[in-house]
Amino acid sequence: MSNPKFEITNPEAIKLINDLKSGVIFAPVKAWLTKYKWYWVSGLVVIVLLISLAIGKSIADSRRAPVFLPPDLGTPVPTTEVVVKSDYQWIRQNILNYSTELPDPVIPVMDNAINLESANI
Amino acid sequence: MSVRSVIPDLIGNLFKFTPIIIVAFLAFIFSPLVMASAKSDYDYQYGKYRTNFAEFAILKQDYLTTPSLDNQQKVMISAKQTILSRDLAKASLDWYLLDLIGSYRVDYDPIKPVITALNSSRQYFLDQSFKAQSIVTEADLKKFTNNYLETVPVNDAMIKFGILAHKIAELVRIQIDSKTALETIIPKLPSPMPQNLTDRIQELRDKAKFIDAKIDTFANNLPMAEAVSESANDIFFSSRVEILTEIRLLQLDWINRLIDIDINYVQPQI
Repeated sequence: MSNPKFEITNPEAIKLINDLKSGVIFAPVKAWLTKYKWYWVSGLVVIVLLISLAIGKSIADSRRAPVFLPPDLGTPVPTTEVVVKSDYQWIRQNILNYSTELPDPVIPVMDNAINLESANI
Repeated sequence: MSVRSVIPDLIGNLFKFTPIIIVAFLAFIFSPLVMASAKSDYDYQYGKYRTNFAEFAILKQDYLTTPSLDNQQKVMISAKQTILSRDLAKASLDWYLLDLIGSYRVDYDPIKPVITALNSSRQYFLDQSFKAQSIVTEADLKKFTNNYLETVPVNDAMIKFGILAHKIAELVRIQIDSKTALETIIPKLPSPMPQNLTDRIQELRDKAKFIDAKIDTFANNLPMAEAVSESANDIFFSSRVEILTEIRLLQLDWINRLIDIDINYVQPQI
């Protein structure tokens, strides 16, 4: 039993095959790539940078330096001095408030000789 | 008119008078703060005298420079106002001193003559302020002032004695409070009392008597009989400051000893 030979007879398919073989079909793509080459190069550079940052961050996170905290000293408690107060401090305060300055109150100066005669004002 | 119709009217009236009620309430609460005291009355009267006297001095100068009838009338009115305010200020000062002495609530005989004299002096100044209203002519003014200059020295002197009586009354009040404190503390002391504590209590009693005697001597030697000549003396106050300071120091020492006993034997030791 002979192997039947498969032959392409469709002219359009033949043309497509020939275009693929000759590379003509990729010409518009090549032209577009050439025209916008700086855009996609820049895009690639940005993508590479972002990927690098992401990798760097993940490495930094995994290798975080340990935090050293000082030991807990507790909250400071004020030292209280026990002061025993007397019930009679108010008498002492009254004595301290006692003024020995005289006259207290001050005597005002007033003119006892109010008249219309001259030379006393 | 039913009860149902009266109630809303009452509530309505209540709301209408709410501000008045609030104001009345506040006035009731704060009224003691604005009530005239002896001190504020004295400050007011003396302030008035100063104003009137300044005005009188200018008008008198005008009158002496230009003795016109108009100037004379102006200065006479001003003189009357000045005399009125002067004597009211002096009466207020007497009242203020009486109020100060009274505030210590002491019944101490040696200062009673001063209190009586201050009351008489206050009445004298009130009478003078009343008499001054009858001054019409320059001759009236001259007569009034001459009479005033003869009678006022003893009444002016009482102000100085009143100041001393005030200081004495304060010392006596401290003595009374101190002795009451001692009598209050004794029942709280440990029983039987240690000998050293008994001695300390006895010492306090003796010292209290000593201070009482000092105050009595000071108060009984107020020279009321020579009030005018004594009060005119330049050292009237300065000669008495020393004894007041001495009594004060004795009282301070006394109360310090009592407080020491209180702290060590009565107050709970924490």
